[in-house]
Amino acid sequence: MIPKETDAQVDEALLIRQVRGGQTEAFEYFVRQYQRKITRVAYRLLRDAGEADCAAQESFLRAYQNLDDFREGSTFETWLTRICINWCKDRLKRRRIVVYLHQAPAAPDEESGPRDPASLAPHPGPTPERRALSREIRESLRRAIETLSPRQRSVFVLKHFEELSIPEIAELTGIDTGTVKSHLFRAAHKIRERLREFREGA
Amino acid sequence: MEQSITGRHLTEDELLRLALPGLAEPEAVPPHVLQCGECGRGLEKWKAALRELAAEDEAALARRTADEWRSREVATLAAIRRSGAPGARRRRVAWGLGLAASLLLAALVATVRPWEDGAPDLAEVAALSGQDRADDALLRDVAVLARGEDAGGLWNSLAPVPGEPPVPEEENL
Repeated sequence: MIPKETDAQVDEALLIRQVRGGQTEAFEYFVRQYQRKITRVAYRLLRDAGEADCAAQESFLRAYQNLDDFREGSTFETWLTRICINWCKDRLKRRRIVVYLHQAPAAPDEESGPRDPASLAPHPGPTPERRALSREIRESLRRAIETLSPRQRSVFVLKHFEELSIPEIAELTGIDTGTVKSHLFRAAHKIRERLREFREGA
Repeated sequence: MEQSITGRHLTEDELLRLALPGLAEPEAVPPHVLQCGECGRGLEKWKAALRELAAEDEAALARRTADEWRSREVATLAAIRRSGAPGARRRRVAWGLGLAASLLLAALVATVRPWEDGAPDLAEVAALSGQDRADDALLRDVAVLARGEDAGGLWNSLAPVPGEPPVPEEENL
């Protein structure tokens, strides 16, 4: 019988052995258990709900097809998340190529470009103006994050949005902790640079 | 006024550095920021932007109903069922690669035919009678002509009409 995702103490290693042994319906547990989490991770990286769904489905499919490669020292969740992050990084790389080929970098304009964050200092009280200004700050931050390389973006998102530790990020991305720190440092530096450019260009 | 509290106001870059530390651990907040309302608000502005960005992501998926999630799970499970047993895709790819390699090899062998290099087998020819050797030479010449490998003369030159004097080569051109 397939355990429910709400069941406590599910032996995932046993379920994996069952799937490998031919009881493929046992894999259903993993989909029910992790679909939402994996979709959320993919959404944070891709910022597109349709692509995040696609990433989640493809990650499960790859995990299922390559179940023989799964080492039981690790958890299925970590392994699956790593597959998903790799898929998303590939997607981001392709997106950058498409953007490079089809779009000239848009100059920020008065209508849609970012404003000087220094001029957007919040005023006391949650006025509509203040909400609008904080939305613009978020937007400039989002745009700055989107300029990161796929790997920097993954590390940055996992650290600041998923609030994972450096060792956890290293395990998920398959790179050592020193490299994670280096990517994190460069990502933060690049974001600050972009935000400065936005301010100066405004 | 606040400037006299402790040190100077932080620049926007310095506030950003505090909100978005490049290091794994956040930097210690300078005492000035703790005392100065303006710098404190400036730092909070960036921290809030990060928090709100993260919350926006959560909200985008939180709007989905249980039924919507269920339908996505069903779609994933259907895709998995269609893919067959674990490792089936990998086996199919391995089979496909093996088949493609075999076809490529067969095509190469059929094109190159190393055993038919056109060179006469001298031992075989030596065993033939004089007439057979003449016939053999004639057949080889015909084969060479048929393949268009005749190196002598112009490719489009015509055999001279019997009894007529040969045409000078310049007129043919």
